[in-house]
Amino acid sequence: MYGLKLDWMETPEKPYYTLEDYTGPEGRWCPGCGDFAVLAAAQRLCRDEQLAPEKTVFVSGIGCSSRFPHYMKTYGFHGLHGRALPVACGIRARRPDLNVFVATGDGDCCSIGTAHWIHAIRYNMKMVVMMFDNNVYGLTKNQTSPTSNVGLRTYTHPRGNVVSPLDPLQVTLGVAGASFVAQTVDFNPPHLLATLTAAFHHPGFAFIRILQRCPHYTAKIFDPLQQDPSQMALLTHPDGIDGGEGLSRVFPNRVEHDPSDIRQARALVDGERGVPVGLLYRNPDLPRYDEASAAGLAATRADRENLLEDQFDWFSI
Amino acid sequence: MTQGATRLPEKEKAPTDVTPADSSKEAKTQHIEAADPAAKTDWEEAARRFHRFGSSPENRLEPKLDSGFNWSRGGPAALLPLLETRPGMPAILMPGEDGGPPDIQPLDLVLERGLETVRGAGHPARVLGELLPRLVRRISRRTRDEKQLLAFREVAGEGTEALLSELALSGESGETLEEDCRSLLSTIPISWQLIGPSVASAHLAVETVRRAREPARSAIAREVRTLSEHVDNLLIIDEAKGTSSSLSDGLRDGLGRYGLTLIDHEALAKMHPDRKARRLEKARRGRLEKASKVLGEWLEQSSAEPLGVYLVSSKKGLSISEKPLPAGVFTRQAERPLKTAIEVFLEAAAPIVELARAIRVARLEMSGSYRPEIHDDTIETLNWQALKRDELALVPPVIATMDCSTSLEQSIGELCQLVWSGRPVLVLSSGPVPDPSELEDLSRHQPSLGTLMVAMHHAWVLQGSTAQPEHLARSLLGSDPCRPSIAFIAEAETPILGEAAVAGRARPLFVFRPGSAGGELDLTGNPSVVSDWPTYTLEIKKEKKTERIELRITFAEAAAAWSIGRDHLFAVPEEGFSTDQVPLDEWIAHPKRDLPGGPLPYIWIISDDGVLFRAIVSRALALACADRLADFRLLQEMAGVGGVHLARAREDARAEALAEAKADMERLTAEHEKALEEAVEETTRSAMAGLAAALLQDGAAGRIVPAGKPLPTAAPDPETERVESEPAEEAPAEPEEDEEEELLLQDPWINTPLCTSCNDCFKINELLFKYDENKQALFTDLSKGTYADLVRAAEICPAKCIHPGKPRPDDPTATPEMIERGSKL
Repeated sequence: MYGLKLDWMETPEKPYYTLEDYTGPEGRWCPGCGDFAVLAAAQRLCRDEQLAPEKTVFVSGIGCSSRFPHYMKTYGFHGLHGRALPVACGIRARRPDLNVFVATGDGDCCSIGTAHWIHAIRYNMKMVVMMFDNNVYGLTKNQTSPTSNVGLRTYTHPRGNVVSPLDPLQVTLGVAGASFVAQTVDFNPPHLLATLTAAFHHPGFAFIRILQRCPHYTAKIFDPLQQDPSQMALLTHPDGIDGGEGLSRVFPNRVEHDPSDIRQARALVDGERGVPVGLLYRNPDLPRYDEASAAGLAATRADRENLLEDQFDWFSI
Repeated sequence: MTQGATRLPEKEKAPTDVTPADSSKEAKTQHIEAADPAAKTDWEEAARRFHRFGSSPENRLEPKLDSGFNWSRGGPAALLPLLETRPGMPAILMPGEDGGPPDIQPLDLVLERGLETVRGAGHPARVLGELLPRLVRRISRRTRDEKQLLAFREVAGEGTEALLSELALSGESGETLEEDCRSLLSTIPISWQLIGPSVASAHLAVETVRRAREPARSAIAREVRTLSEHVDNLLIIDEAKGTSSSLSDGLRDGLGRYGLTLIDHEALAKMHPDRKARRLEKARRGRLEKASKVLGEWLEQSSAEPLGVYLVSSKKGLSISEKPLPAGVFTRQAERPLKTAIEVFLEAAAPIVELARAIRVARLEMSGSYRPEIHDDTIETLNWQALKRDELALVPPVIATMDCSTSLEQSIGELCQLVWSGRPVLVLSSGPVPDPSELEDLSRHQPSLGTLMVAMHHAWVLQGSTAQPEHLARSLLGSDPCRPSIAFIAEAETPILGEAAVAGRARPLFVFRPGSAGGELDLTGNPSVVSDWPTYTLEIKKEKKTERIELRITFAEAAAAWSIGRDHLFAVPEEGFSTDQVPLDEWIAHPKRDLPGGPLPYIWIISDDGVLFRAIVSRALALACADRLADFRLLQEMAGVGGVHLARAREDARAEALAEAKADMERLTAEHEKALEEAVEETTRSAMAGLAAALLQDGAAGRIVPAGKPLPTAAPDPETERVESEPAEEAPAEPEEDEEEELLLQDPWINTPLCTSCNDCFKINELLFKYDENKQALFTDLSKGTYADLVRAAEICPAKCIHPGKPRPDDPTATPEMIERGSKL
């Protein structure tokens, strides 16, 4: 009979993973860097979900945050500047059995990698994209990034940035195929972990913008939010991100938002009701390109040869 | 592949999801865009012929139709939710503590409670908590083929050791898990025993019956010890009286050598009336001596050892699986085990009857109310039937195993003889599930021996299954030591097959406890006791729509789970579905089911890749289902959970309640209307009175006084107001609580959930901080760091989650400057 097994008796034993199983070398970020918080949250997510390290891959481009794969004891791909997403999409296309995470920064994703970013959203392949947004190029020592605010003094704009910043959330929400868009902050680990967990369980492309402090070059820009959490708007909804009761006390300003309502999501991103923190949009029913690209993966060499022969037959005389 | 049917290639199927309620298995239905009408007709005709004539090959249409359904890789859809009922979950037999009754608990619950105890002792045991289901599985596997009861602590120890070596966790996680495992094992008493789903009925019966009688045996042993001492004292005193019968001699013997140097016993004897000490009469002394001997021997021999058990089996003897037998079990083999068991019981009861006589003699002697003219005969003629319930618990239990190959007629005859004899013998009748004979000839009615024995209403009757060890062991613990007890135990090939037999009403679970008021039938343990069949909902997701199918587990589902029952089922793919086909449970109640061209019964079956089929049920199996349903309805009727009488009683109660409610409503409405009228009148009267008073007396002030309140005659005295408000103003504060709160605020603390794991605090003083299992900071020991370390760590912490508090008085680093810096954090 169809393998009516006693699930509590017959399940083959899997290894149990602890935090140590995901912990690589100590992070070499600057003291106080927000990347540490994201790293710890990602490791906890892997532990909580019991992801096999050999079935998990972290992909990155270039930047401070892109050192991420080095500190995870999983598979990793430290790629070229701006090319984290094409690599991740390639992995996902041919190895749908892997858990794919992407660590990318505001420079990596929103500048040189913009084209790949837009199309990766369209493809809606299942992966978790952590976009570390510290408003500056940190690794190359203080240059203006696409998300730098007007007036930010950097080495490329010593008298202050004059170009309006790009809003990664607004851009993502504007691309056809966006299926999961959320924003969180590195200085609230419970919300950060809850957001990563929700993204991991999303069936498609999950884009998270993480407001991340750079203690050297943009040390003060997130201070107002950290000192006065009422400037942030915690998005609440039964279908949203559940970070536990404690979050309600940390975020006094709460906005009820249905994550299936993309119009309200776009309105919230404008920030008039506070910097949104939580799930802005989710649509689990959108088609996924990796489902189509995975077709034929099980084909054997003989199958492929037969297929070729069939094609050649079209041209035989 | 189906001939004539258009089953589409895999890529052309519209994917649909089927989710059984409460189950994670996903499935999909076959989607046919354009069914061939000719093929549909073929399927209809084939289904009808199959239902009528069964599976014989000559009754199939030519060419034969093949649905493509593979029974080795699929089965009844309704059985999927059974996995969640945990069939075969081992149970723990816990002997009662301090003379209390024993108990039975499922393995997973026992381990969860043990974990709670560990956590209560201050160990978070997070990893062990997550691994507990794995430990349950490991222990369950260990018991899967075990015929005997196992020492739970030992098996749990093996399980935790294997778990630790399998995981091989290194570092702190490994040490913590090892420590937590040790703590968990320490919560398990040595005497607890583990019962698996393959346990031999004889072993289980021996252990449970023995444990069930322990409390009564302990209580009697305590009383016997007291009685024995008392009887012995009477005899010693009588011995001390010596041969002389004079008071003087008695005093001399009693005072002893030292006493006689102080007291003149002859002079003392003269001061008292001459009350000669009389020795016990010969008959009484003989009675006491006999009682003393019996009580003493029982205390010395029997009470110190485990209760013996007699196991009577047929000449074929016990199966190898039942050996070796537990200690204290005496076996007998006989041609007719039940008849022999009756004789064995009388043998086993004889010493206890002697003991009961001695107990009665001793009790009467203790209270000084033994009257030979009344009690001699009574005690002499006392037999096992006069034994009380707790005394019967002392008789070594006699268990007779009934061979399953014994014919039904012989079984009924022997069981009837036993019930009529009234001897408290426990009969074990074990049979395999599935039973090949059950499906060989479905047209033959299979009478349930259990139901027949219930009808005799003198015996305790159990119908259980090894698929539910907890129910089985708990029921056996409650067997009646005063009456014949009969246990019919279904020994399932696998737990899921046994559970299917229970759910499909092929082997319903019940316990019948006879009593003076007719007895009580308990159907606890059966799924959906008040329904005909257990019902589950299957959710089918087709594109964006969700359909629900009600699935019932019938006897046909159970038969389909057994390979021998599949000849009675004919799989039909979606192109063969028709409106003539009705679910089996509807077919049973269908008025036209026996007419030509009537409906065809079916059950849902599902392949391993999630395609749903209908399986047409042969008429023989469908009628057998109706037969099992009738049996179960009879049980429901007897248990009072269903049937005509309950429905009538329910209707009567509802009608009575409605009538009462109606009468109450009318009464309350009348009372309300009356009260309303009175209130209106009163309000009008008061308003008029108030208006008149305002106009006449207080009109100048322009105040309107609420109705019903007296008009103030004078302004309130300011002094009085002040005095009244003073106590509230002078209410003493609660300084103690504030001080305590202040003290707490002075301690350093870390808001651990906000820690971002940046390692910065470790760089200040790595001895002072450590990470928890979520890699978030905690203090190790505050004595390992200074106040200055705390302040520096708090200042550098990007998450601002370290709070240095107030410094200790003896901290040399607590300079005014440092305290000033710390106070801002």
